Amino acid sequence: MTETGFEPKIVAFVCNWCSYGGADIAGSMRLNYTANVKLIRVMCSGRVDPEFIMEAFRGGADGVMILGCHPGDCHYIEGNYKTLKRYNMLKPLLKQFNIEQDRLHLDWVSASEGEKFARVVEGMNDRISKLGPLNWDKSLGERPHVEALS
Amino acid sequence: MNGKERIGLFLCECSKNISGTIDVHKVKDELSRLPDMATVEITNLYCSQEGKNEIAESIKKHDLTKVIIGACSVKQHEKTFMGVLEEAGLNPYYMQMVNIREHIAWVTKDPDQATAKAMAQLKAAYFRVYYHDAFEKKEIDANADVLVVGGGLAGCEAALNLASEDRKVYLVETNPSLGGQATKYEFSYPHLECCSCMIVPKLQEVVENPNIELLNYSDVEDVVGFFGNFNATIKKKAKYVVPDKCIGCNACVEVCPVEVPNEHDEFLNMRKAVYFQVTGATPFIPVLDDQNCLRFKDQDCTKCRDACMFEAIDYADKDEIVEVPVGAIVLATGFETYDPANIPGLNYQPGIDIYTALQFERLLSNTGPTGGKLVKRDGSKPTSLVMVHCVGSRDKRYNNYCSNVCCSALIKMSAHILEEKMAEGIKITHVYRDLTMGSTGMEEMYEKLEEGEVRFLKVPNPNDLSLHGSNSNIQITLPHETIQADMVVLATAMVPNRKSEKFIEMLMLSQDADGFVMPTHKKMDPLATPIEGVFVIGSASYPESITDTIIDGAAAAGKIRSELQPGKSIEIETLISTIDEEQCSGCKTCVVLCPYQAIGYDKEKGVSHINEVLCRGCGTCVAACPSNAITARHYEDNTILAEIGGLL
Amino acid sequence: MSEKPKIGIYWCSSCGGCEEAIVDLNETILDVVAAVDIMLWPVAMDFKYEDVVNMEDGELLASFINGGIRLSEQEEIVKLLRKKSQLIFAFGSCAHMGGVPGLANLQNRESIFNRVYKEIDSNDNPDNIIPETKSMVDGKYEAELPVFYDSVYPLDQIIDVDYYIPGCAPAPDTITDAFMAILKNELPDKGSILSPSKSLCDTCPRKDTKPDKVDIDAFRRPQFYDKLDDGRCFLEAGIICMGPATRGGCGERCINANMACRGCYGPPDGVKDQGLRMLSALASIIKPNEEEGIEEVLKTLPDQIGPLYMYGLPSSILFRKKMD
Repeated sequence: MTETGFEPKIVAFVCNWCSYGGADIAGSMRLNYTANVKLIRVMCSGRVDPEFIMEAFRGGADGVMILGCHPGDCHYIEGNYKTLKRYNMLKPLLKQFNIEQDRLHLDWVSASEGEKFARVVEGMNDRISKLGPLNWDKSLGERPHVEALS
Repeated sequence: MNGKERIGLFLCECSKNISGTIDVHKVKDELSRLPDMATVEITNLYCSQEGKNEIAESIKKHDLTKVIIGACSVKQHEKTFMGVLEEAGLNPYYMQMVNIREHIAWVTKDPDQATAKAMAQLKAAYFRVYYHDAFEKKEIDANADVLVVGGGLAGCEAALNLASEDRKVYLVETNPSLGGQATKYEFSYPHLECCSCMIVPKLQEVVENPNIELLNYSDVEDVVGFFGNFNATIKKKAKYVVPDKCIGCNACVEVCPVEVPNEHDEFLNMRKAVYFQVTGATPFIPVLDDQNCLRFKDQDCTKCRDACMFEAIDYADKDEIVEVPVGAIVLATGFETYDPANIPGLNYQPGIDIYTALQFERLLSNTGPTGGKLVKRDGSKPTSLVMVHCVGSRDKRYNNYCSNVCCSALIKMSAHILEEKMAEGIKITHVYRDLTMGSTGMEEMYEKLEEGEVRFLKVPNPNDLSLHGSNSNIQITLPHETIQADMVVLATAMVPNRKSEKFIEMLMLSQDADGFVMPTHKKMDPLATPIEGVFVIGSASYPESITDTIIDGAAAAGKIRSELQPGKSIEIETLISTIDEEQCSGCKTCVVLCPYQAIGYDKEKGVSHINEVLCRGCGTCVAACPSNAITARHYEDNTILAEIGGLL
Repeated sequence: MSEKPKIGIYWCSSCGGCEEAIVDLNETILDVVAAVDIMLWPVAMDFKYEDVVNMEDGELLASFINGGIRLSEQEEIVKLLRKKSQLIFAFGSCAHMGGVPGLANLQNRESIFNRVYKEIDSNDNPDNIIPETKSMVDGKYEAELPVFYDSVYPLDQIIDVDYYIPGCAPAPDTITDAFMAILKNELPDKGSILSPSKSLCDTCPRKDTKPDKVDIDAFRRPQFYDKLDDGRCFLEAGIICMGPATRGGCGERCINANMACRGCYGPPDGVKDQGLRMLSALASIIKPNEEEGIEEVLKTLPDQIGPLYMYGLPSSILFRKKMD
């Protein structure tokens, strides 16, 4: 629990072959890590569409993570490179929308890296806790509402 | 929330592994209230036979349309539960499995937090399953025949292991003779076994095998298609010799007036325009080289035809194009040696007594330019021989890898020279960096050389030596001394055969940093490539010894035999991606993205198309399409967005 | 009382280009005028709001509304028109997606008023007066100004929209086809955008010479590129052409003038966020695979919202920039 009682809502996209496996290993090792990060399984991190990320922010996520295979190890050869490119291009766009760039995080976790999985997830939780809630919907301001002219 | 679904949620306690932390009853109470949730059940072990039966019965009892299972990792039991659905008459993809064990119960200390997280993840699954569509397994017809490109040892081994009554092998070899580079060695290590005695029986088997169609002196011009359904266009070069009539008597060769540098002898001597590539070639038939024959330079020379008593010379022969349908392709294009002229300090030039190791193999060979006598260019015997290892190898400036076999080859040749007493009193010196001799028996050979007073001089990098002088008097400058030799042998790196470039482009393969064909995985799947149905073996994939090329050939054959069975169709990936042609504008953004070359642009229709046989369902193209025209089965946009919504 | 169908044409936060587009139908405008009775068209005709208030609900067959919504007056009128019209057509990019004025969603009322009325050097406003919704004139008369919203809204975020006529401005063919469809009662399903859904690449004159594999080694700006007229796909040169993420029907007027598409017709059907789809497509074909190489390429594109969201920021997923 943070001082303000704020518990971040973080969505993590995990790829079937590497990071999902890494999360499994973290489980087998009974590592303890925050429950604030919820997982969505995809076959490859290359499936992760920028639209998913923005919808997650719009829908209430305070942080979004993409966890894929290490470069060179992608089960589908090159999917993670595309993820890297999209992520690098999305970061400056987030800045232009005035969303702190640290709210989006890409990392590489192999199927054996249980300890790294836990560490990366905890690290994200710490960063987002410090940044505070995003509250995107609230930040859109008051919705105008006047009646029809009569 | 549409009143049409009846969703079943099954929570596994996993023998307290889950229920010890997560309050499954609270989850059940909470989630039972969701609309369309027909039943929420809890059991001790859903992976047990009883557990599986419970699910099956529940599916029937509640007429469930979708199933959610909260249990262990998908890697443990996703297939198990998909099987349960299938047996119960429900499409296996109507299920979502949520990992509440490894991802929640085992890693979250606080039970309230664990229960809350489980609730959120299961809710996400609940919103997701509304979007699940049914998918059926698909099979396509496949041709089990195989094209082997390259008639060296790897290719021959593959062909022999593949060919059978119900599987034809087309073996294409660009040279007239089979055997590849191995036909250049007189002896092999570690036992100085006669190389041709070793390999010719295998090559002969290939020629005689009725299920192997040997297309020697031929080239593959083009390949189209995909796994199970390739079509190869092969050019059979005109040989001008009728195989059925020729008895291999050599009469035509003797009278031919043309002499050109002999590729087989590594350009140390000449051959004729009509020639046997290898003495004792397999198949044992000469060919007429129309690039050098006088008839093709507007002269009416008929010497060879006149000399032939069997009417085996046919000047009217023409190149022939054939098309062969095959299901798999094996690339066995082998290696060539790196040209030491690229290394300025070594002063490698024609006509002096500095040889590459491959040239030296020919020199020592009974069928070579000197009939196997160890003599210098001037015909006299050498008194001092220096053999330099690692030329052009393990060096960023040239080739940054070790070629595995050269150290053993040089030691083999030294041993042969000493054992056969080819030059009495000869002083042999090896200049080396490290001795990498991977195969058994080589240590013994090396020790024998040391006993026989062969000198081994270690230097930091043989590529930094400088050689000068002329025949019989070559000075070799090492870091701490200068030595003299009247014959020098440079063991040069093995590099991919330049002819493989054509195939890399044709089949859209990729290369590693050293130019070798990149396999699917260098350690776990070194013979397959991302292009399904295309395999790379032998030294085309990495510098290999004869043993390893044989292993590769047999192994690739094994893989093909299990993946492509005659008469059986091949099952293709179910969860592929598809392009909606009504939405696709043919912008081609996706075409470059697929590592399996599964996406092609159809010029006539003006749209792109995904080959369902090659698609692996990664979804990378789906995320990139600017028109949203591509859909990933089971991972559609709406499906994932629903899952995200459920989580938040 | 004539038998001709009645229509209304109204403008919100717009440039007047859509009104121009209707006038630019040339002779066809006469056919239009002959076929319908225009009951409201502030730029061209003298009807008053009162006239519309006094109509029956649904008396207008259709109203064509262009411009984005950012004033309370605009909201009042479009809601009025919704009541009085059977069909509402969002006319032009601004009504469809927010349009160029939508880029103001990178600001809010406070930052805009500060800049316009206080900070600009050429202002002569020593008392820092900013507009108020109510003020007294000559001490006697109360003058009213509409509320200036923090954000620009596309029409369908304010009222229920039946059809969209896209473009900035819509091409003559797009407009004529839409009018004809109305008059012949051949409109497609409600909610349709009245132009082909397939993106511009489908009909682009530069499609045939586009290589199957294009990748981007740097982003280039058209004003510094000297081969715009070579007939080759702009993306080959790293010039951002929104064509792949933009629906067709405009006749490729810009491409034919050697200018890359800027996306004014909006995205194809089923695409939520035009800017993000284009970002994903562009990013996926960036050439280098390693971090440094990718960064070098991205350095050549300092502003992303400009090219990606020129017309569609208010209809994007995030809708606006978060103000501190």
